[in-house]
Amino acid sequence: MQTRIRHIARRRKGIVTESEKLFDKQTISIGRATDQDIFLTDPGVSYNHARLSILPDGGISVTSISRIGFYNAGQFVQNCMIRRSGEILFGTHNIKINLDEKNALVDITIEKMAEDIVQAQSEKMLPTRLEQTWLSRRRMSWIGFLLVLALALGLPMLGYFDQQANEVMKAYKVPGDEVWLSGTISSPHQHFASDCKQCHQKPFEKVQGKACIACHGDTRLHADPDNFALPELQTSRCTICHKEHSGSENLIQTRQNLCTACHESLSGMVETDLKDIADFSKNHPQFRASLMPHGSMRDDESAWKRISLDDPALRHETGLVFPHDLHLDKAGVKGPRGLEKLQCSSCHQSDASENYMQPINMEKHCQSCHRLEFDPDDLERELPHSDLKNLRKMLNEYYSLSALRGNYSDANEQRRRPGKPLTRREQEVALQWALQKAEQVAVEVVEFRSCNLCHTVERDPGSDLGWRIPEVNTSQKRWLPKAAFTHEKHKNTACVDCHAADQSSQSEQVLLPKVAVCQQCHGGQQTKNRLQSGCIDCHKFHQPGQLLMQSKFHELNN
Amino acid sequence: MHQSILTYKGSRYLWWSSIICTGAIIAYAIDEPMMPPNGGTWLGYTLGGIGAALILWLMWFGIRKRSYRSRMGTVQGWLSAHVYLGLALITTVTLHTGFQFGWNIHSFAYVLMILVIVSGMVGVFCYLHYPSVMTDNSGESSKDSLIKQIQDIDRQALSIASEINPEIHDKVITSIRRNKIGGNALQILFARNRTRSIEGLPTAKELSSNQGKFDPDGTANTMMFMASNIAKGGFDKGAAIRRLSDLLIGQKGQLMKQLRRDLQLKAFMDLWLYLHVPLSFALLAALIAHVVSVFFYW
Repeated sequence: MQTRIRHIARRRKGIVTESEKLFDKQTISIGRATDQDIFLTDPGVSYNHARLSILPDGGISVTSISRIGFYNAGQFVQNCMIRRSGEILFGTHNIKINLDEKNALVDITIEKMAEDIVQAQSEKMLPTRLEQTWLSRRRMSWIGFLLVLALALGLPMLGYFDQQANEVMKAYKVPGDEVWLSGTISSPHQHFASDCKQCHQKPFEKVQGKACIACHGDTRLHADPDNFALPELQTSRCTICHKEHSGSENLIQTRQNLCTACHESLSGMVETDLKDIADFSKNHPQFRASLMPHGSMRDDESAWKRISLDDPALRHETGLVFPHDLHLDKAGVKGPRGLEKLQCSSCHQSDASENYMQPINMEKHCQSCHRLEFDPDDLERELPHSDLKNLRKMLNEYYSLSALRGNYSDANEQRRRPGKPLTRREQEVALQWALQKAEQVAVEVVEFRSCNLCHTVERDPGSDLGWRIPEVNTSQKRWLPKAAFTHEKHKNTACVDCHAADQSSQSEQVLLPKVAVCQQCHGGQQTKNRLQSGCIDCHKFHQPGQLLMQSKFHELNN
Repeated sequence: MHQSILTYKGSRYLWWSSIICTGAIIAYAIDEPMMPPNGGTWLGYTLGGIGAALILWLMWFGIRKRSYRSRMGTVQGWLSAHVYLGLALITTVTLHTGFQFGWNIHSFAYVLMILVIVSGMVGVFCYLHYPSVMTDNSGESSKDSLIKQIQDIDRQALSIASEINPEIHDKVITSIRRNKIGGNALQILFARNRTRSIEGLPTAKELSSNQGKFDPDGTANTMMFMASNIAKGGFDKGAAIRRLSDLLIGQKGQLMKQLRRDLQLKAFMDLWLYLHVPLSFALLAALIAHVVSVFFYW
């Protein structure tokens, strides 16, 4: 096997010069000394640097004699084995080794790669700046961008559009659209919080009322859509006032500007007797009491008459004569048990809700003082209240019994022997007496002694009873039905602070406090020195008595 | 005259940034939204829009600084604006959130943004701090001139060594071969001397059969080797050997130290960008997801 050694020198302007030598030897020396087979004039090479041996099997072994070694395939080595072809680097010289196909010739090409070893070394310089190392801003940026995009957008979208993928994700607890959840779901909606589609029914569309109506169809509308045909009402969505994803406390928005946006200038928007309002402390209109009428219209709230507390015509016909001031006399009032100091609560007692007062009841609240006794000889005996029809009958029965027992006086017979049974004649006289006595006591009780004290009694000879007593109207519980006032929350306030009962001498006077009384403690929502009170602290948005919400959406959908 | 990016044109962009922040704070203070402040009120959308526009514009800086032929302002001006308007994001976007945070993509985007801004602050610190430290380290010499000086010393050492004896010559070649400048990211950052003895001279471990008897970092070994050669080489070659050791151990060692420190400082100056840039692209993705998701489930 022959060895051909070629030296290539590249001059300036790309001129290549070559020199060539042929050897028959199987071992070839490499070094800086002149006697070396491969003679390298390179200060980076030892005099006697290495041996290159051609083995019988065609392999070529290179072994360094010098400690310096050489480069092979980018590694600094002391020896290496080359099969068929390879490259090694001594100092600045690159040696290419190539065995031809017939295994007849080893071709060795030597080329100087750099000026000197120092130069050569500097060309092999390792990265000196971070951007030359494995750190790569571009790669890291792509990874960051794509990773976040996949997790934050890709997976949730996949789960949304592909039900099967969604189920797999749920099974493996891979986060889907829950990473989009912008805040805590309110407590009432928690049970379907993980199913966004319940409310967000269509992508890129605001949550529509029909999603709410699915459960809340029985909620009432705010106003009659015929009388208040306002676009603000027609097009408004539930989510304007009901904000989800902000916890339970924000589910019902309480900001008054939600209301005043329309109610500040409602009179200019629609024909209505509702007054404009911007703020409770600034221009809340005077309260208008709803007065329950007499008679059959009593239960029909729409027939109730609303009248301003400022209106001089404000009167409530109770059908009673009742001076509050007299009853609240601080010195006390005379009663059967002597002087008695009355409190408001002596008569006005809360109902079970603690919000409203129970109706006043004669037997319960008045009769302990205003006793309906009629016989000075029998003060235990009282007439039943509000039974005028049977009054004469009952008195007649009472006095008849008494007379038949002999307790009557006869004009003709001045003295009568007691214990002796009455004769038939005497019985007739006694019953006659009883009839007269009953009539006399009835007139006395009704017109002069008992009934007339509280009721306005008029003689009515044309009627069966002979008197007319106007109907009593004291059963009204709510006077301001459009406001949700509760006594319960105000129980630490004295009654007379709001209701000037101690100044009232007539029962027709309506003792509701005016708005200014409330404003002593309550301010608007922005007030700084009083209790901040927004519209819905007193008023409801969904008005009882209005149509159901589902009717509106039914209408819209058709 | 040199002008810091912070004082560029009389801190013009500091004023811009202050105006944006003040405007945002005033608007937030006087706004009375119908719900608790959040990104979904009209002010929330406005602040969010300003924030998103700022983020896109700030990221555009990466393109602008590479457009050498652009006449759209100077890069220095852009950088100054980049710094100040980037800081304005803290105010506008925090107000955009309405201080509502949670474990979701929206707050995640916010956190990413804050990380990008903080890494940017570190960058400003580096740009203001490290150039003077680099000058203190290597004077007027650049990295290339330090390398050139080291190469000159290597060449001198090689030529002196070839006159002493082949053994020392071989050692000097080994030393040159073992010149390790740079390396992987950690090696650059820690400025580690990766050669086993002073500037690549063979250690006594390699020279002597008494393995393990000498200290492993090889400093003393190299000295011993030199000393033994001074003794062996006789009086006439002693001066050359001393000159050689002075070159390799003294001058080259000092230069190599300076060079490594120079590379380290440069790496420190670059390091924050390896957070700033990838985080800002992650932020861009989070921002896209934030905007799309908010309107997807409107």
